[in-house]
Amino acid sequence: MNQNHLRSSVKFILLYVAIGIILFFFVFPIFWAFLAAFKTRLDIFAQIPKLIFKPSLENYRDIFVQQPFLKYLKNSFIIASFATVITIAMATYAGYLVSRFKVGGSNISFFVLTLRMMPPVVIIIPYFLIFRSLGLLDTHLALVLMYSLMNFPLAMWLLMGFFQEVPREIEEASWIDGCSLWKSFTHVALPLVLPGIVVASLLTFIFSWNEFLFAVVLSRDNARTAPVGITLYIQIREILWGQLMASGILAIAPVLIITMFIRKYLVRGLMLGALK
Amino acid sequence: MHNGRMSIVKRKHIPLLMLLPVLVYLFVLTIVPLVYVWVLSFSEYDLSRSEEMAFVGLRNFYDCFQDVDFYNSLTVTLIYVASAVGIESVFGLGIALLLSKEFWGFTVFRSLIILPMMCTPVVAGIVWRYILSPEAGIANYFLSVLKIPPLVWLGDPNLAMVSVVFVDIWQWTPFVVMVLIAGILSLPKEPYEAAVIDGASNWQVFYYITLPLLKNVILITILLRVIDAFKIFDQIWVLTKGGPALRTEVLSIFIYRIGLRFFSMGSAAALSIVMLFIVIGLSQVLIYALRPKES
Repeated sequence: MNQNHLRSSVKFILLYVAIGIILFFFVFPIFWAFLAAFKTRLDIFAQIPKLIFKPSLENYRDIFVQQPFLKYLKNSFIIASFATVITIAMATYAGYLVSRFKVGGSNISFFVLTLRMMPPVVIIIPYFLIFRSLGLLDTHLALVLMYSLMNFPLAMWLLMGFFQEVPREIEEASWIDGCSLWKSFTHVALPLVLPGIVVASLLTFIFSWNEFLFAVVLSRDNARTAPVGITLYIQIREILWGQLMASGILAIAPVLIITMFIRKYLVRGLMLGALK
Repeated sequence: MHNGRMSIVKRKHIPLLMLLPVLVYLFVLTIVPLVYVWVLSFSEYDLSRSEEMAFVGLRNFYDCFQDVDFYNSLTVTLIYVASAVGIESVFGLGIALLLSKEFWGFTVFRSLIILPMMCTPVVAGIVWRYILSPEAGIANYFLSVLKIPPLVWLGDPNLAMVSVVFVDIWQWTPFVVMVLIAGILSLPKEPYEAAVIDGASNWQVFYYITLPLLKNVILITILLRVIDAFKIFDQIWVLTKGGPALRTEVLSIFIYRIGLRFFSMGSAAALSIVMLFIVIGLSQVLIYALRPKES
């Protein structure tokens, strides 16, 4: 008995040590970057890394007052919001029709999945040339279009799953009661999939907010988004670590907060509904 | 509605008509650039020289298959995808098995571990660039504590690949962990109870019960990771821009360099087509794995 007891407490300690190491590996880098955002140049280059130091807001003053990082955050917010509204409106509408009436059968699902696989770099060349000749380079519109296309598959796939869970009978009852197709969509089906719509919207927002390749190719000063703005602190002469970390932390803060709210649905969203 | 046949016809076609605007929108946004990229791939269109576009047939493809840099980026991509996804799968499965148990603090651990995958990829890149930096990084400090001489993580041609794969592992193992925890928690309980009665060891339970039941979820996770790792651009762009000496130049970065730095649009388009075909091949496998199972 005593030996069993000893064995289980050794196991217990080993478990927490293992988890401690794992969490250190995954969380420490973010924490360390967070600290650097509040360090002065001197503290960042300290010979022995400083865990305790006098926090300074110097880096934030630099990126907001001396550089237009606020504008980049605003651009990101505007572009991601518009892209989300367009994507979700289309995906809800299409997801409903496809899951309720099996429109297009598996062809549409196939098309949507293929879109999900397509590497963005494959269409970046033609889009660069198209937007260039339309005079749309460096506009918010160009990026909104790209992100609504890029996120549509995920949103539609996710919403189709939610619609399929709404029992057909409920809707059929509303048809018999004289509801039009449109009315039964807006008054019966939509309220029931509201959680799905929220999750799909937040995921679309996150992915649009995080996107880099389209943003770096299609935007300059006017429509530049936060992820591209951050990279400007990597300069040829030197890397401005403080500003780099300060802007990076600002860019991931909203994403990490949103994530905590939709954690329960993340698997379903990211696995295209293959797993709930 | 007095004619029964009419209403059936209507029921069948109205939804398709209603779907049309969305389909047209998506179709235009995908098909137009894809057709354009095909046209470009048969053309010489060098923006750094002139705005003239000339038909050159298959020359871009021929050049592409003669190009050492193309084979380099293909090899780099394959090594990157295989090593990153391979390590993530094994590592992820192990952590998922550990965290799928219920013990004090498990919900907090499960939440904390998904932080890296939600990070903006560019930010993941700069965070590691900072940590691995020769002048300000803490990685070399840890080495010095262990009496190991400092390393040039991202600048050393032999080490750069290891470093970028390492960052991918940091960012995407959490994805594997998260998905596999969900998979493990949804497994049926009965086989485990039977195994306990039969006195199976932990290792036997894992090998003969968990692994076979989890096979499909693991497969789909790996395929999704392969497809996403194949597209990698952001982190490598921030960490090394494909260098040193093209050692980390994956396909996406290579296409970017040809098309958007050298402005050689025809060659970049041909490369895009080649990459597209590789991805179509990969996605066929994924679609096959994701198809609805007969239950």
